[in-house]
Amino acid sequence: MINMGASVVMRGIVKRFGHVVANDHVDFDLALGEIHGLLGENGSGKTTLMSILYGLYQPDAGEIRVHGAPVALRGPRDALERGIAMIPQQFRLVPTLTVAENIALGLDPRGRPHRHLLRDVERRLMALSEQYGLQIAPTAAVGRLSMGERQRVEILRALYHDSRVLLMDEPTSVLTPREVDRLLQMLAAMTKNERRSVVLVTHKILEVLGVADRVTVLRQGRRVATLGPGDLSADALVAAMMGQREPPAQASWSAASPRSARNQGRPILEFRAVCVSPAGGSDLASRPLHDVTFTVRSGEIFGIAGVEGNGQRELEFAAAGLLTPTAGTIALDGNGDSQGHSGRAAVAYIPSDRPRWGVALDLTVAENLLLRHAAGGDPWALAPTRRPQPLADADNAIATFGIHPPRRRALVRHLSGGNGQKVVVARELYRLPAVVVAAQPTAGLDVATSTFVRGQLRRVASAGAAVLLISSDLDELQGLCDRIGVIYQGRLMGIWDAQTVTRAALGAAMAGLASAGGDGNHAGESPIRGH
Amino acid sequence: METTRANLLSEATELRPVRVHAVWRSTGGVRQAVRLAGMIVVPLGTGLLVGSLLMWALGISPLAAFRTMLETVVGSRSGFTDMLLYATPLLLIALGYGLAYRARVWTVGGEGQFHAAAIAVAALVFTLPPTTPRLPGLLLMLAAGSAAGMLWALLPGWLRVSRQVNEVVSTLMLNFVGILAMHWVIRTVFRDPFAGILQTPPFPRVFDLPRLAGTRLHIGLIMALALVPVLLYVMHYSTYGFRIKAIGTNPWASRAVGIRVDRTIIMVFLISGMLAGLAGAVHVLGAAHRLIGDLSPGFGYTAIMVALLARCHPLGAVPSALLLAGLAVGSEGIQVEFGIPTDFVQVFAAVLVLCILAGDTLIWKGRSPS
Repeated sequence: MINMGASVVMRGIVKRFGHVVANDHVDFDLALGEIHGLLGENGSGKTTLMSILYGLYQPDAGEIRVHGAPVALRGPRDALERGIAMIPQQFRLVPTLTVAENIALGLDPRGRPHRHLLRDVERRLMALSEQYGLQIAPTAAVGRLSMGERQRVEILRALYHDSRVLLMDEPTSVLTPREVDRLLQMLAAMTKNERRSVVLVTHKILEVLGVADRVTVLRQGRRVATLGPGDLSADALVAAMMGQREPPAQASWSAASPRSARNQGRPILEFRAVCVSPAGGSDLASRPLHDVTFTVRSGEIFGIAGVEGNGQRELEFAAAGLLTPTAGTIALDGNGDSQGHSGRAAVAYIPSDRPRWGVALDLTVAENLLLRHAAGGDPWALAPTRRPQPLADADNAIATFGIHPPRRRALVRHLSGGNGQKVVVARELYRLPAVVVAAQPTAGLDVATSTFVRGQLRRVASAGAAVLLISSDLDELQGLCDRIGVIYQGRLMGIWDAQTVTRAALGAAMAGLASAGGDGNHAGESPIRGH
Repeated sequence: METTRANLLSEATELRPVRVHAVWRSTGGVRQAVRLAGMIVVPLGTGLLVGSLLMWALGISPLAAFRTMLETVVGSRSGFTDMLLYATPLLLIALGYGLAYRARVWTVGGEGQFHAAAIAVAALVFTLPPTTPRLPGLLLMLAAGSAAGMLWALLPGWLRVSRQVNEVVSTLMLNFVGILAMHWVIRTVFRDPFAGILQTPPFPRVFDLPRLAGTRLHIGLIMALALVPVLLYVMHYSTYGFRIKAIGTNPWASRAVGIRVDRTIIMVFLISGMLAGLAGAVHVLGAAHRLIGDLSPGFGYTAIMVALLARCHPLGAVPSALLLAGLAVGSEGIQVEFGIPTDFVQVFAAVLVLCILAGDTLIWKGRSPS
């Protein structure tokens, strides 16, 4: 595929982080004047690949050629000099400075007074802004601009440096639909008229379908496919992203407890037409929930599938009692309310953001294991960390859950991610809870730990817990769950029986393609829908 | 905070090569000693060094100056008593600060709470009939002082919890309000008509705090010392202390497991306010015996340094309160002897705290990036 029109060629790129292979002999070509979609789930290696192209990481193996010449990119400055610019997801702008000042920040004044430099920058930005119809005033304070406008400032910065290659990381995640249209139009103009090249890193299938000339799909660090104009379709992309293989070892997963037998309990966790405002904060992947209704029964594992950023975090926080619904109710065990600290105390919660919501990194293993003991009881009584019985429990949990190092006084900060997660799982599941909310519980974990965590979820479900499992790993969901609901743009698209639903049906619902619950392929239960 | 720092220190040692590490572990006592040195002796030594350089720059022999300070404080009975009187409110306020800082509640409001308590006590002193029985009267006054301190702390606590107002700013501002409110109360309500300066008439002798046999010391010192083990238990042994530590380390995770974070933070404000209020009450009733314009030489601010030097530990607060009180009293000695303004000692104390904080930062920097 190397032709005269190649802008960037990456060959056999390998990048390892410890034992994790983030990029495994990835080939990637970027032609002149094309918009190239780079698609993949979280952890598929797309951001790593782009970071290598932007010089942030050095590849362990492989070759990069820019406009035909082999290059070694030792840092962003090297990349910029070769005309490669990155428009990051989190903008690198100082809110209190003006647009022009922000762009002048990285420039060498070459001995000129700053205000001269600034005047030149302003003049050029004005011209560029007009030329591309960006409608950005160089003297505007960045803090007053919308997210979409800030993104255009980042694009202005790339244009200012006359970058030929624009790497855009999830560019639409912060934009309103109108801003998305506008951005895509602009990118189309920049590529078609000026032969600039754009890499669009995303996990949104529909978006790349609309604008990309070609799409490369990464999965688990490998390139699975590059689809061109002839074979580019939603089905093909879903298939490539999810993989065609059957869920591995599904038989052995479900052997431990016959799932159909579990699915008989009474309702424990109920969402009734729940609406939630976006969680917001620093996380950009936030989206309101609309009219979400489902029931998790005792002994059941209920899965939520979906492409990240479709409201999973809001669902997670609402179920854990950390976000209050703006409408609807979340009921615990029929009548109880999940809201407030009593709800938080009642729900076993394995959060997706472990360092923030799961563990206190600067407390010890024992203190983290006994954290729930701190919430209740007589505050003036001896702390659980000072009493022999809870400490024995902690030691027992360390042994049972195989937390390494097996020292209760080790700081959780010093533990690996997998062991940190074991601490959370041990604390939350040790005493067989009635309700479990587990969000991305195996993300970033190695195979052994993942298997262990899944086994624990199955164990508590067998013992009668109602488990809500939010995951972007379809294999995991199909292997563990009794039923799976798919969330898309904050709405539940439908609920399927996990054993009979096809991967294609789930994939289509995740991409927002299917009419909700269209297959209806489940025994005795219709998809539970919002009003 | 104290443990975090301590853990950082132990971590820094664990990052050493294996052989050193092994030796290190086998000599726990040495390790403890070195840790202690790193935490206290080094900043103290650096502070002394910088202070000496300052004095040398002023043309005074540092050695002579330090000897004078030492003689002022321990060489005479009255100097020693002054130091203990000075250390009493420092210790009380610093105990509260230590508790708050462990919860990452950065209150600096001891000064305002101290003065609020002084107002409350004076109000009772001048309104209760002189025939009031002594013990109930005193207990009522101490309680009123503590309550006034709590009230003064409740506002910033509420602002922090419900409006996300930074407590450093709100407590600092309330310090000025507290001091000026006391001035206003003296001027308009309780002014001593025969005095040329801003002060109230002396309190009736019946409302003096009981003294320690044959000294000017009052039982406030005993109360402060008795509160040290209480705070030690609360902070390091009780469930409540565990909650505070958890909140200070990760408020989000604490909330997720069902700890009532806001309620606990309000409680922290109230306890620290109560202790500062108690400090104000015992100081007024035991040492000052009246309200006076410069009632506090900045106890509420010096106590910040006491708490930081003690790494927020109640046991550490005792020696560091004595140290800073000794410095304050001793500086009066060198003022008499050498004519250096007592402000000099503030410089010295500030250098001390800077050395502590800088030391911690250096330890932070020594950590492996992860």
